[in-house]
Order: sequence, then C-alpha cells, then structure tokens
Amino acid sequence: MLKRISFSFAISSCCGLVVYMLLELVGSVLLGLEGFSAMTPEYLALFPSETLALGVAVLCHGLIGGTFATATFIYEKIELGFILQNVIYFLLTGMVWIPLICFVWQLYRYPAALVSTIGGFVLTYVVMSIVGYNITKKEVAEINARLAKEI
Amino acid sequence: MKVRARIDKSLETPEIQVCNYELNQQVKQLVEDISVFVNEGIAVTDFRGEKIMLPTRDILRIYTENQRVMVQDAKGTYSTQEKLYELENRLDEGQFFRISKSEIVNLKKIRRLDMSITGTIKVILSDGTETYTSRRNVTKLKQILGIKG
Repeated sequence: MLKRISFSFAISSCCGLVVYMLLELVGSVLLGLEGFSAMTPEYLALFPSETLALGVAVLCHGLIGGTFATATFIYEKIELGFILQNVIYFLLTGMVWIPLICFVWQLYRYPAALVSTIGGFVLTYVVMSIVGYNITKKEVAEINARLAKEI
Repeated sequence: MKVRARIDKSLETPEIQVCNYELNQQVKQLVEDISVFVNEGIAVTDFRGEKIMLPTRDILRIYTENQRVMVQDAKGTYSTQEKLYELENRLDEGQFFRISKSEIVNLKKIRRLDMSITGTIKVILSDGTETYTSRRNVTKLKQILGIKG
C-alpha cells in the first residue's frame, strides 16, 4: 500500500509539474504575456532570481497535483463511507495546498481572497456531499424496495 | 472408470458424454457433478485442504483476503486458485455483481442495503454477512436490477 501510494505520488507530482511548466510556457512564450503569470511580485521578492522563483513554484504546483491525485486512495476505503471520505480527502489535501498557495500566491497577504478560496472549496465539498448523500439514499431505497419484492 | 477423448468432426463444440449400460444413481450424480464443474461451479479448497466443487447458486460472495481469493457459502469459507477478475469474467453477469475492487456478490443472496449517516453503504447478505460497497456501484447495481430513473 505504502509503495503504491509513494509511486502514485511521484508520478502525479511529475505530471503536475510538467502541466504547470507547459502552462507557464504557453502564458509567457506563446501568448506573449510579460513575466511569469502565476507569480505575484511579493513572491518574486523572496528570491534572488525569477528563474529560482519559477523553479520553486513549479515544485509547489507539482506537490499540489501529487497530493490531490494520491489522496484519492481514501476513496478505496469504502468502509469509511463517502461523507467521511470527502472530509478526510479535504483535510489531507488542504494540509498541503492551503500552505502552498499561501506561499506561492502570497495569499495570506489578502485575507478576503484566502477566505473566499478556502470557503469556496469547503462549500463545494459540503454541497456535493449533501447532493450525493440524497441521491444515494434514494437509490438504496429503490434497490431495497426491488429486493423486498423479489423475496 | 475409463476416461478418453473421441474426435467427431460433426461436433461444433466440445461435448462430454457419460456412457454406461444403464442410467443409475452413479451416472446421474456423475452427469450432475461434471455439469456443475464445467458450467456452474468453482473449484475450491476447504480448511482441511480437501478440493470440492461449489455450485455457483450456493455462493454468497467471492473476495480477496491477504492476496488470496476466498469463496463463501452458507456453510463456510473456501479458497480458490482462480483470480477474482477471471471469476468475474466467467460468472453470469446477471447473477454476480462486483460490489468493490476486492469483492463479487451473488445478487440473489443480497438481503438489503443499509446506508449510514457517514455515507457507508453496507450490503447485507442472506446469512447476515455484512460487507461494503461504494456509491458508484450502488448506481450500477440499480441498473443491473433494472430500476429506471
């Protein structure tokens, strides 16, 4: 299990990293946007060069991608139930992406943006969980009705 | 008992025949055993190491445990050499359903489903065995049972 999780993390982190680099390339070379589009001036000020700042940002995005992909292993633990799975998935991924976006996007300097970003995620999880719960509850009731009829 | 192969070009598929001077209990039993073995059974090993054929109609569930494939009926649990995916492909789709990555259940042996507040979906079998399935598989099960909507 640990081996599989580590492998999945390594592969998905690399994918996240490559995707981010491609987006940067598209933004800065093909679209001709000046500078590195996903880096704030405050973030750039933390580094002696833009290249180093970009390198760290790429690694951070790779790490976020890897975490989101790897944490899906929680959905294999069906005995936990999907509401609990969603909560654990949110907490596991949040432990990584929240500090990283605070660092890369310097989001802690903009409390309103930070709150709305996290709030948006939480709300999406809550709404999706409630909708999913109600749909599945209805499906379970329909299946039970059919099974009772067959017996 | 003689066992031999006979080649007959008029046959389209392999056929097994049991020949004897009369139709007695032994012949009937042999025909039934072979039929179960070939068409509707799973070769399993019980806890004493004895090999037996388990008719599919009696099977409650088939699951993997510690990288071994186990077959459970109302009398007990057995191990089998067949892989879960092989059994999934071989068994009747209308009779068996894959409820999770590691488990197949006999549809006719499902008593009911129970859903908890945390979203755990329990599958309760006819002998009281409790196992779990996912949301995605509940939707598939609904389709297999022919429930529309």
